[in-house]
Amino acid sequence: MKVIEISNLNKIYNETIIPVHAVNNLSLEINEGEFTAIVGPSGCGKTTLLNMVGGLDKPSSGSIQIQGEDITAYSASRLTQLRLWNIGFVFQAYNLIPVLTAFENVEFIMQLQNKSKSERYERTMELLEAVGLKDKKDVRPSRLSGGQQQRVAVARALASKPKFILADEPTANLDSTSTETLLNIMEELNLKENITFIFSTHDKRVMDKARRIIRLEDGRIIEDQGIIH
Amino acid sequence: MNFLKLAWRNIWRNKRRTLIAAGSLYFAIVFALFMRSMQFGSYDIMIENSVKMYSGFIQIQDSTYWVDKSMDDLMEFNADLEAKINAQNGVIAVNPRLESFALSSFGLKTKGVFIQGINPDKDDQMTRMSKRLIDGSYVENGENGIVVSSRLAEYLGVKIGDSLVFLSQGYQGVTAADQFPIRGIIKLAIPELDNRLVVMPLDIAQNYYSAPGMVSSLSLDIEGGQHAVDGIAEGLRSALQNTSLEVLKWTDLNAVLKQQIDSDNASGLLMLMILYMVIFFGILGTIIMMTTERMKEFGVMVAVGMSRKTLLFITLTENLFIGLLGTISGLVSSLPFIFYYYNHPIRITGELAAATEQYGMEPLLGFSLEPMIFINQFLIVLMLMGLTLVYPAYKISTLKVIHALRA
Ligand SMILES: Nc1ncnc2c1ncn2[C@@H]1O[C@H](COP(=O)(O)OP(=O)(O)O)[C@@H](O)[C@H]1O
Ligand SMILES: [Mg+2]
Repeated sequence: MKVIEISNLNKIYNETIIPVHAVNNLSLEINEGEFTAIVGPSGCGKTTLLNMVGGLDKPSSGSIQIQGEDITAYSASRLTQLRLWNIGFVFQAYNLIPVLTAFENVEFIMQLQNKSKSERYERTMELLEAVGLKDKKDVRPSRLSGGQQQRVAVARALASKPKFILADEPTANLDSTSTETLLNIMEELNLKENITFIFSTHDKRVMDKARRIIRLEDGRIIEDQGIIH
Repeated sequence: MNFLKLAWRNIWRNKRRTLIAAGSLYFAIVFALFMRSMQFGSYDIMIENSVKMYSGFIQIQDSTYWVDKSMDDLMEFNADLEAKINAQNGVIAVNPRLESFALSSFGLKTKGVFIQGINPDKDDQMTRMSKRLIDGSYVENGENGIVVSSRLAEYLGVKIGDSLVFLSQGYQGVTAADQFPIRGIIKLAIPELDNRLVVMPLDIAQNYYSAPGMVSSLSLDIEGGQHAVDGIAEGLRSALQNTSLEVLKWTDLNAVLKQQIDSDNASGLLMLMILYMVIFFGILGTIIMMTTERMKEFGVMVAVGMSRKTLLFITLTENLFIGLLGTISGLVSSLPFIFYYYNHPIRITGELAAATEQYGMEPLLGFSLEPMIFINQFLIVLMLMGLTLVYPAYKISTLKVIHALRA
C-alpha cells in the first residue's frame, strides 16, 4: 500500500542572492512497511526533502500525497494535526523535552491526542520496553546517554501510532555501538510491527541496514535500489 | 503528566531567575499594600475626625448662607422640614446647628472663637463629642453652661466655673454680648478646632445671636458613612427641589481636606505606577529570556504535533504561576501585619507628631482593610503579567518550525 507519493517536487531557496535548487523535480513513492534510507553527501537535499514530507516546510512546486491526500495546500493547523496523528519524527539532536522524564516524553504525544490515562500508560510502557529503556522510565534526558535519548525519541515517534517515521540522520551524533543498537531496534519494529521508516544518513553502516536506498545528488534521485539482505 | 505540571517544571528550570521575578512581584505587592492601606487608613482617620466629629457627611444650609456665611441668611428649622428630611432613606437624624464667630475674652486675654450651638443629646449621637471631655461635664439642654476646647482654655487660662465673655454680631445686625460659665473642657484631635471651639446648647446660641428658631445648618447623621453620601444627597436634592435650601456633601464642606486626600492619593498612585513599571520591565526581561532560550524546544513541540494554542496556554500558565507566586506570598505575608495595625494604629510621637499636627491632622497612622486595595493590587499584577505575554504570544504565532529546529 502506498503511504507517500511525491511527484515533480521542487524546493528553491531564495534566501540568498543565488537561488538554491535544494530539491529538483523529484518523484518518489514509499509503500507501507518500507525501511528506506535517503543517502547522499551533505547538502544534497535530504533534510529539505524530509521536512517537506513531514509537513514542516512548503515545496516550491509539485505535490506530496500522504495516503492519497495532497498535503501541500494544508493550513498550518491542519499540518500540525497531520503530524500529530500520522507522522513520527526522530531528530538528529534527539530533542527530548528536558523537564520531562523518559516516560513523560513518550506519553506527552498521547496527551496531545487526548488519549486516556490507562491507554497512555500501557502504550508508553510497551514502547519503552521495545526500546529497552523500561528501567529508565523516570529518568530525565540529561541523565541518559545520547544513544538512550535517541531510543526514547524513537519510542516517542511511535507513540501516536503514525503511518510512518521520518528520521533525519538519527545516528549522526551516536557512537558505533549506540548506532548499532538503535538500528537493530528500528529494524525489529519495522519487521515485527510493519512500521514504515524513512531515514536519511551518510553513514555506510546505516545504509547497510536499509532495504531500499535512495541516493540523492543536487536534489535529484540518482539511484533507487532495493536490497535483499 | 499534564500541561500544568509541565508549566510548573518549566518555571523551575532556572530557579534563581524565577525567584527573582516572583520576588520582585512580592516586594511590589507588599510595598503597595502597606502604602495603600496606610493611605486609606489615614484618610479614614482624617474623615472620622473632621467629618464625623464636626461637619457631618451631609449638611443642609440656605443656599445664600453657603455662599456668604452671613448671619442674615440663616434658615428656619421646623418640624415639617425635619419630617421631610427624616423621610429620606438612610437619614438617621437631623441635627440643627447655629454656628458663628465671636470674640472671647477672659481677664486681659482675648481670642476669636468659633461658637457651635447644638442640640446636646442628639448631636452627640453622631459626633460623640462628649467622649472628648477631659474636665467637667458636657453641655446640657436648658443649662447655659458652655464647653470649650482644651487649647483655647489653656490660652485664655480658664478652668471649670470661670465665665467667658463673648462679643459678636447677631441676626440682622443686633449686637450680641453675653457671658457664659464654663462647664467642661474637651480635647479635639484637629489642632485647628482645638484652638477655637466653643460648644453651647442650640437655644442658648439662638438667644445669644437674637435668632430664635433659626439655624445655620442641619447636619445629618446618615447610615453607611462616606460611601452612602452620594445616594442620600441625591434623594435629598430632589426632595428639597423647590426650596432655597442647598444639600452639601462632606467633600463640599471640607474642600481642603478633600483636596489633601486627592493629592495624597494621586501621589501614591504615581509612586505605584513607577514601581510597577520597573517591575514590569524586570518581568518582561525574564519572560523574554524564558521564550528565547526555548525557541528550539517550541519548534520541536509544534513539529511533533502540539498546536500553537496549546503551546501558548503552557507559557500563559508559566506566567500565571510566577505571578501568583509573587502576589499570593505577598498578600499572605502582609495581611497579618496590616490586620494587626488596623486594630492597633501607630501613634506618631516626637517631632513628626508636632509636624503632623501643624498640618491639622491627628498624629495617628491608621491602616485600612478596604477590600478594593487588595483586589486592585492583585488585578494590577495579573494585568502586567498578561501584558508580558505579548512577547511569547508573538514569538509562538510567528514561529517557523524548521528555523527553530535548526537553531
Ligand atoms: N533555509 C535555507 N536557505 C537557503 N539554502 C538552504 C536552506 N536550507 C538548506 N539550504 C541549502 O539547500 C541545499 C540542501 O540542503 P539540506 O537539505 O540541508 O541537505 P542535506 O540535509 O542533505 O545536507 C544545500 O545546498 C543547503 O545549503
Ligand atoms: Mg541534513
